[in-house]
Amino acid sequence: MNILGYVSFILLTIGIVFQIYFSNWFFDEKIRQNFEGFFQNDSALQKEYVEKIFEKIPSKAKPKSPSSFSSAVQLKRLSCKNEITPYCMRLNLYPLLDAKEYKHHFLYPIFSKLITDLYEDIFLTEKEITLFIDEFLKLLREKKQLSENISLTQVKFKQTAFQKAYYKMLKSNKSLLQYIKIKKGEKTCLSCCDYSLLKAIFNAEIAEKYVNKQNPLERALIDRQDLARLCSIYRIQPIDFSYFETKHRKSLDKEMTITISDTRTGIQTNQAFSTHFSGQKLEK
Amino acid sequence: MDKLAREKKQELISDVTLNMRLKQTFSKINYLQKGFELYSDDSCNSIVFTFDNEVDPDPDFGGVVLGEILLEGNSIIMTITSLVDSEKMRKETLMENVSDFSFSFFSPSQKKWITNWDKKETCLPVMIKLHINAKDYCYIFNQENPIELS
Repeated sequence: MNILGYVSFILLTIGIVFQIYFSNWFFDEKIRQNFEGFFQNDSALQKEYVEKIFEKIPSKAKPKSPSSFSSAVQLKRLSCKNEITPYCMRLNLYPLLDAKEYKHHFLYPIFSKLITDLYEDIFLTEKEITLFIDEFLKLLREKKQLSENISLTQVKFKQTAFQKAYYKMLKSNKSLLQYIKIKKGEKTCLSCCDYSLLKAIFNAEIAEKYVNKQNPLERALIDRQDLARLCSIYRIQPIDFSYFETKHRKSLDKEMTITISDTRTGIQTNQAFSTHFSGQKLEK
Repeated sequence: MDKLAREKKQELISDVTLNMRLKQTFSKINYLQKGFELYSDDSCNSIVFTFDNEVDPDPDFGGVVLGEILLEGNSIIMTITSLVDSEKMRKETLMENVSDFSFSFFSPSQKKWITNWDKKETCLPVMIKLHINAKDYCYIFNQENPIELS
């Protein structure tokens, strides 16, 4: 028997087994280190954040009654209504729920166009879209009779296909929730609208003209008369401008700072933000 | 060693999952929500709160729902009850193999951690701390506006 061959075979086997175990161990160790590092960093950051918040809490608190705390914040919140928020740009469907002959309301074709443009891949035919919108408005009208606060996330369709389509519309990148609202007396601020909504309200040409004016101040300069003139040039169906605002009520400052003070704890919060519309930053 | 690494990895994944879910849930609590609730039960075993579940395939679970976090057996679970149909409930296991679970709230008026949050409170605590298996998980409640850090 060749002893040298036998020893070589044993050594080779041990080498292979060792190599397999070592590479497995090395791989697992790398993963473990990565996870541990990520988690430790995450915890450290969170700890640091919490500590900073502790530092911000003043040592002498001014205790106030609980009711004054909520009312102070609520009052502040109400006053924030005039601020430019993504909420301003949404199309208010409330008038459609109030109208007796909603199909003849000028908002109906706008809403229909918006759904067609944004979610054409979800529906197969135009008829399906019409049926969906009619059913959607019917459900909203039923909800409105129960309460004025309508939650768009709780609309329940009888047809499973519509329910699935609606879920896709809400979860899509261009979620329907970003485009519509239902609130009595609220207007849609045209200077905050994005291209898709402007295209549905007017047409692609006007939407482009409007969106090309990147500066909201310039956008605000396009008044109702200009828009009405453009509508007649492009022969667009008549639009009731009382449902829209061309200028935002709040002056379009380049940068706004809000200070909110909690009357109970004395914590003061400053938040500065620049006006930002549809992914277009304010020109400076 | 292979087994040990796998166990460690599992433990970390479970940690990260729990952290992400709770961060997401607690950030959706808003005391201006209609029917807002946040309290711990009398024996301090569970936290009950309303939060915005946003969009859900089942519309009964969409929008504001009632959540409860508690220790059941050796798992931390979160139950979600629909406010539209109170008979509809979901159970979600947040973490398994839990031997020790407690929580506390940081009260803005008392400036200290307290173990019980009363139903009558009209504001949110500054933060909540969950103590799970000798680890602390801390979450800040979404006050009206975030506190600016210097």
